[in-house]
Amino acid sequence: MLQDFTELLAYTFFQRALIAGLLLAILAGIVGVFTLIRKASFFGDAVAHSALAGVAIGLFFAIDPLISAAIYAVLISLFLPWFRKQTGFSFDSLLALLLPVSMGIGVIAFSLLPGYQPNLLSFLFGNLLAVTSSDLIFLGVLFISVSILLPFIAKKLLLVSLDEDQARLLGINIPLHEMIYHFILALTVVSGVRLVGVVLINAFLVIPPLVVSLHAKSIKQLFIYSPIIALVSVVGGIGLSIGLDLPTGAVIAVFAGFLFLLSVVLKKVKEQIAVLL
Amino acid sequence: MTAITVTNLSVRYPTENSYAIEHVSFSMKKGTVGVLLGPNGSGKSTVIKALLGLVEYEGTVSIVGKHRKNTHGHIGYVPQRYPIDRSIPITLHEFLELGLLNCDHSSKEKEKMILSVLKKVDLIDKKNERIADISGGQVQRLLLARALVHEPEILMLDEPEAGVDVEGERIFYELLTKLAKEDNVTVLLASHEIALVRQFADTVFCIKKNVVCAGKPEQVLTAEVFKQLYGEGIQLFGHAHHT
Repeated sequence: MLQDFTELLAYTFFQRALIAGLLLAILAGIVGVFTLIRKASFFGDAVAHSALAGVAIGLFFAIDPLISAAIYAVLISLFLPWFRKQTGFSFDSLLALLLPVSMGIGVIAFSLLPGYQPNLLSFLFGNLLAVTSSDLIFLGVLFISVSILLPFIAKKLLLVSLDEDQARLLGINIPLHEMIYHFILALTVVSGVRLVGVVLINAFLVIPPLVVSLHAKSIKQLFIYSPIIALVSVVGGIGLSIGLDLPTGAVIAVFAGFLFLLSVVLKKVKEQIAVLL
Repeated sequence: MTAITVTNLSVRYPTENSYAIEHVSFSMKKGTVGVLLGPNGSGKSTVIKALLGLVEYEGTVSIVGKHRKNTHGHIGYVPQRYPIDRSIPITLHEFLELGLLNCDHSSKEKEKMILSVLKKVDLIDKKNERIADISGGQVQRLLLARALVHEPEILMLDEPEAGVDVEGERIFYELLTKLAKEDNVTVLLASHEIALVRQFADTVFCIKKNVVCAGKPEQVLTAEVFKQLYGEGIQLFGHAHHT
């Protein structure tokens, strides 16, 4: 397996996929912490599924599907909180509504394209070979932008996510910080669509912070170790998918799920040992 | 000196047809403990939320001589319950650090303020522990610490005794009285703990959508007022000469 992996490193497509996976892991590992704190895991899922409609619209109008998906997902992620405020519907109901409708739009648009099925599957479940140079540039720009922006807003965004009333009392601009979070979340989700697909991208956001939250002793640790677990999931998932000749996105998701189970067992063992001592 | 002046305060929640509170007016002197007393649904929490600017309201609110919109940093708030999911691994120190966002102090000064407030609420030895690992009474003291960390002039508390045992409640109320008397902090809290209110409050505001009556505990806590607040069948025990 290791030999296959080393051999593949010589290929440009694999280098692209690996770099994309590593950048995505770090990004999603950090954004995922905010998603966990906000209890918004389903939101990431809905935005990911809505990205499929964006991809299809892009393909239909011969625009780069990543760009159209990014625009669509950003619009949806900004529109939803506003719409919820206006109508008073719960987030749950709106997300449950958005998910099938966006998937429906995506599938309809794909069905109008010639030879849609292979493309559709690749966007649903990801494809290691599908990562293009422009995808990598998109991800790189997003990664650098978030790395520059986050140190300035991380603590305020954290407080807005943890305790909105307290943030309001301290005079923090809540709508601005929510908008930034939704913007980053939407673009992170879209940037991973090629590699892991709309169905599996949420595993990147949700599983690493969940794994770490079981053992972390502070929020700081949650932010440090969550991207590391995401990186382990990507490298392990890609390695296993090559060795076992299985779809990459699916293997990454299953491998991350395995890490979660391992983490639960480890926690239980630690608790038992503490009781015995 | 007057710390809080409320005139004709009314709140109607967007989903409700009627007003939660109507034409509430009262004022409080600096360095005193005031208690909003009333049954569930009487509007105690709504008054607190309006004063904090957490809900839309009609009327005027003046805090330390300023319009409500300019009072950031002047008010500390203790909510009814710990607002964060207990599974989030946040330490006491991290929690208090977030209470100092938007303050113009240096990191060194902030650290000093955090340690000082942790000492005040007797949690200094727990500063690096996860909030999930401390008791309910300690969480309540931590919420008080967060409300005090930026050294506000006004402290507002919304039924802070929820989930705390009797001894914890007493310690908590003693701490509030000390803050008012020694640090000149004005304390306004919503409560239904009559025994504690009688012991620790300087002024009681009886609320049932508006201020039914206000005054010192011994003047206000009468059988007649109780009947007005809670209806027939509720008896006031303890001070026979008032009943």
